[in-house]
Amino acid sequence: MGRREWFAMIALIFLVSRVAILAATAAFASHLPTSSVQQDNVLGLLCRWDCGWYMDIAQHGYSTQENPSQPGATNFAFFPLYPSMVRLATPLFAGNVLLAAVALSNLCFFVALLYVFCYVRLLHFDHAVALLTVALLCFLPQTFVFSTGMSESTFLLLLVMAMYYLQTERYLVAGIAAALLSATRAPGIIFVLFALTWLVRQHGWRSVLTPWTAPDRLLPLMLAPIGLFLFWGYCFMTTDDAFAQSSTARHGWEWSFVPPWHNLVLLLRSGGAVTLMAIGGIFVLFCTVMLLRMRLVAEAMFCLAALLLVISGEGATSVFRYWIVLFPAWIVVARIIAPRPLVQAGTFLLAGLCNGLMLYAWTSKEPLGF
Amino acid sequence: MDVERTPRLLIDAPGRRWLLLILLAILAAGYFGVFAVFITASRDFIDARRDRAALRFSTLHPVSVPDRILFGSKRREDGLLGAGWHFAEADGSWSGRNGGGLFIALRPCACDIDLTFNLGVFTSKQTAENGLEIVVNDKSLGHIARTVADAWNPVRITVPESIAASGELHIVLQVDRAKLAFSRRLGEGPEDTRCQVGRR
Repeated sequence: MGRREWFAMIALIFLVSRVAILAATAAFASHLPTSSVQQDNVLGLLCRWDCGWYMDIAQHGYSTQENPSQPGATNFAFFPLYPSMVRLATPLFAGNVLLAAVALSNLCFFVALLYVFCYVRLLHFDHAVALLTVALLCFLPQTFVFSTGMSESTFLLLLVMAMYYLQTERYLVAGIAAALLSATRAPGIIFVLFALTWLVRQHGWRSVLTPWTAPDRLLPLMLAPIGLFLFWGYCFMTTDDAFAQSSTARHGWEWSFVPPWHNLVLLLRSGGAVTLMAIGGIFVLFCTVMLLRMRLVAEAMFCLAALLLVISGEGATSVFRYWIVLFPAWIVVARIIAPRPLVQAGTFLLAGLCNGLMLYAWTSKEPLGF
Repeated sequence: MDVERTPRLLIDAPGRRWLLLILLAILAAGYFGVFAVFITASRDFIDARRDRAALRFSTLHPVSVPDRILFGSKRREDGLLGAGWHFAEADGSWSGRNGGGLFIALRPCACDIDLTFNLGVFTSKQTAENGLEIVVNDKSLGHIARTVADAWNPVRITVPESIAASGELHIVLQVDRAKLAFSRRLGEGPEDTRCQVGRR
């Protein structure tokens, strides 16, 4: 399969999935009784939950103003890269900040899919596995967040770029992508673990312990925290609290650390959608173990650390959208289902059903756990 | 045909390699230094703001002893509550954190001050015992052990003149064990949450 063919295939999968999501969203909205939902235009339907916070940052910048209905909640809980990009892109969309956000998210998602394809091929999997990984990302439950005004697609793009350029030993580019990644979402900093594991497995401990032999290999590792430190610095200058992000998450969203094994039990016992989320987490954990079996140790370490970070947060009910960005886990699923057409059909059917249910909850603003 | 994989950015010149190493070392040192500053100089900005607001409120509404202060939703006195408290509810204010603070400004008085708190310290089957420490202006004035049986008994302490003379009391109620959510509740009980202030 030539470059043009696989590019066309990815574009087709992307377009079909996004059109399906838009059509389903519009269909749900037209059947919902809530007047506020019906008043939303199509763009408005793509902006729910955290999207409002990102739009607020993009339009007005950071503010210590608390949400009156959610004491302690401020927009400092959200990392700056995505809303900054939206702000920069807004003039290109006639000043429509939400349009800019949705366009940017979709663009990032599409480019991310191209990189995911290349990355899977780089790991010596065949085209079928690579395309299936792309398709899974397009149809997994909550995949619609990649097309909304939230930072998941930017995160996915920067994550796969950082991993790809590290694997191809373009260290400076990998470092820049990693630095941007840590300014996009909190789990971005976990890339450090990926880079360290990759370095040790590829070049041995000596490359870390004797950095003077090839210091350029350390660039991704060393540049990765820059984004996070810059955000901390900004928070410190404006609020006297470098950790304003975690402070406001603690107060406004009641985030607190709970040992992950304890929290997982709590989530499993919660019932309803939360239990489904916990089961999803266990599935991602299974994929992580499979990554280890496939000797993709660096990818497994990243997924495991990201999982632990999410499950360590009390009240983490919106975990599924945190997991879908862990694309190495979906490589495992793609590899398992690739030679089994019936299983493929079943997987996509199940994913589509779950996605529909979650999309309905999203459109109707019902708290299914986003 | 064997193709040797060539790293794209491997710096061969020793001078450049050492320069990069030095830059990376500076960057690493910078991370540690900046992080140390952030850790030592940062304070939870929401806590700080709530403490500032409560201090301001307390100075605008000084208390003449003896007095009784009631907390609960829509009560003006909730303005005295600083960092560490949740929403005020109808029957009081509660906290799920280790420390909840309140500010009381007193009219000048060369005397010891009695404080009586009508509050509950969280206890349960799993947490049969818990302790409450009362810190006033950064000085601990006592640690009280509580069990399921006496969790709701009023807590009385005496603030010595040396502290009370300042006219401003920053009282922090600290529990020993804050478990998962709702590890303790202050102010939810048979009566309204009260803080009684009286001259000794």
